[in-house]
Amino acid sequence: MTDPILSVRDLGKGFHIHDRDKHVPAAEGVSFDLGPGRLAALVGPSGAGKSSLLKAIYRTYVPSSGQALYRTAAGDVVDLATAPETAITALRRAEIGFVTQFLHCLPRLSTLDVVARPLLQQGVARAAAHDKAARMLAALAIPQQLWDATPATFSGGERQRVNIARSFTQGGRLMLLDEPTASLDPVSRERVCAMIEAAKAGGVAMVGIFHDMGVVDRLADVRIEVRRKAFGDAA
Amino acid sequence: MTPILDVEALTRIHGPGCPACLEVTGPAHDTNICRHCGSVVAVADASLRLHKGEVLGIMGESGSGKSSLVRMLYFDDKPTSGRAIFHDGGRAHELFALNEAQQLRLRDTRMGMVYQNPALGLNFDISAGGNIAERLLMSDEMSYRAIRAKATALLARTEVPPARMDELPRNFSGGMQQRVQIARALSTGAPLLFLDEVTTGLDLSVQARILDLILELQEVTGVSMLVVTHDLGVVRHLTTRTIVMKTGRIIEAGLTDQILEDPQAAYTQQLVSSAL
Repeated sequence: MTDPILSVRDLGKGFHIHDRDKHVPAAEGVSFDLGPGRLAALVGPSGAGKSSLLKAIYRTYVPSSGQALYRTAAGDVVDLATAPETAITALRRAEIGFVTQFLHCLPRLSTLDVVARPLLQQGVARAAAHDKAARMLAALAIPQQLWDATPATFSGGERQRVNIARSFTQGGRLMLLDEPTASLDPVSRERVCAMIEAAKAGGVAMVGIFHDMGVVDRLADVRIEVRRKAFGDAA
Repeated sequence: MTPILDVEALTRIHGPGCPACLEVTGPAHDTNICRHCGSVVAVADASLRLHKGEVLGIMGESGSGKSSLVRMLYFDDKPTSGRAIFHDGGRAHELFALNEAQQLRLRDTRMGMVYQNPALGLNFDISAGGNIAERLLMSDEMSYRAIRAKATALLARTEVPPARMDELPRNFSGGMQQRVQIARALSTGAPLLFLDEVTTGLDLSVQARILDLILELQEVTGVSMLVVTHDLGVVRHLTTRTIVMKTGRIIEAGLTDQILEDPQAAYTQQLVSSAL
């Protein structure tokens, strides 16, 4: 068996709200190993803390407990829970991607630029970056007439596909997917699933949240049950 | 990542100062005024590292010490104690150990500052082009023709119409004045830039275009920036890491998305939750 890309050990998250002097538990610790080309689905009821865990792996949230040991392309093992911010920034730029349901982008950029941007930031030449971005947009059936326009004017489903195109254009070794297929029509959902399968086949490891159990059945190699820690438990 | 600026325990106390100043001020006391001697502790024990090509935000409310911090680094003010090392092209300058002439030389050629108030960063009595030429002259650019060509190119890059380069900046709109300031700050190709509330007080649409411009220039030039702001939107838009200051102290530091979505300190939680 190949070495895992990600080994999550008792990773949990809670929030301390100083204002009310209150501890709000979000997710009980989970543990799993994830190898290249494998997809782990976080499953559990709404409010169980699935998104919190995903954000804790990406370090948008500071984990409250546990480790997320990531093996880099260079072969080093980095605990994403505690690594210096500059290490996290470098990994986010080159190796670890995050796909959200919501597109936060500059309303003043064209769709093609939005999708190509992460590559440009990695130092890829403009023509090559645009070329790859165009292929991704085409694969997700965003009409070419829209590529010059800003995604701010798009429908929810179109924006979500632009967002997915951007994340998959950037690529990486580990991708974190937060409901990438929510609010998509069946045809678009099929395209996104195909894109995820292609990335898996290319060796990308993924942790994902999908509200559609059919998608979980199709894509997931392993399911991780997530439970909210009871109020009153120690942090 | 290579460091470009290391700030160590920088402190600035206005007033006589006394041994108790640092103990009786700060976030825990919710004041920066020493109750024993009346001194104002503007910045206390501030340490940070800025890396090459990095954009670091310094966030906090008015009076938190964020502007005082960068003003010392740009030699607008002198620290009471502490050090700062500027790593520039294989040389490490200990900023506050240099003599005044050396400091001015670094400031004029290897650092840039964009102030909230354009009157501080520009000479309103000479033309927009002249403002840039002035800085180019300090960096030993001598030929009139070369200076004029460079000033024109810089203004074009910051979207100031070349037709207006011979006008006085006092006649410009606030947004345009900021563009001239940015062009001036960038003119010598300095690797280190300080931005102090550069979009505060501008119309929203003008703010957005100035921020886009800064982001674009940063990506093209790879310049390192310290961005002082009280505006969460500016931090989100420009920076990858953020430092939060309160009553002269750094109380929290982290990835910008983490600071905004999962702030740890009580004060940062308050600051983030008070966003509109």
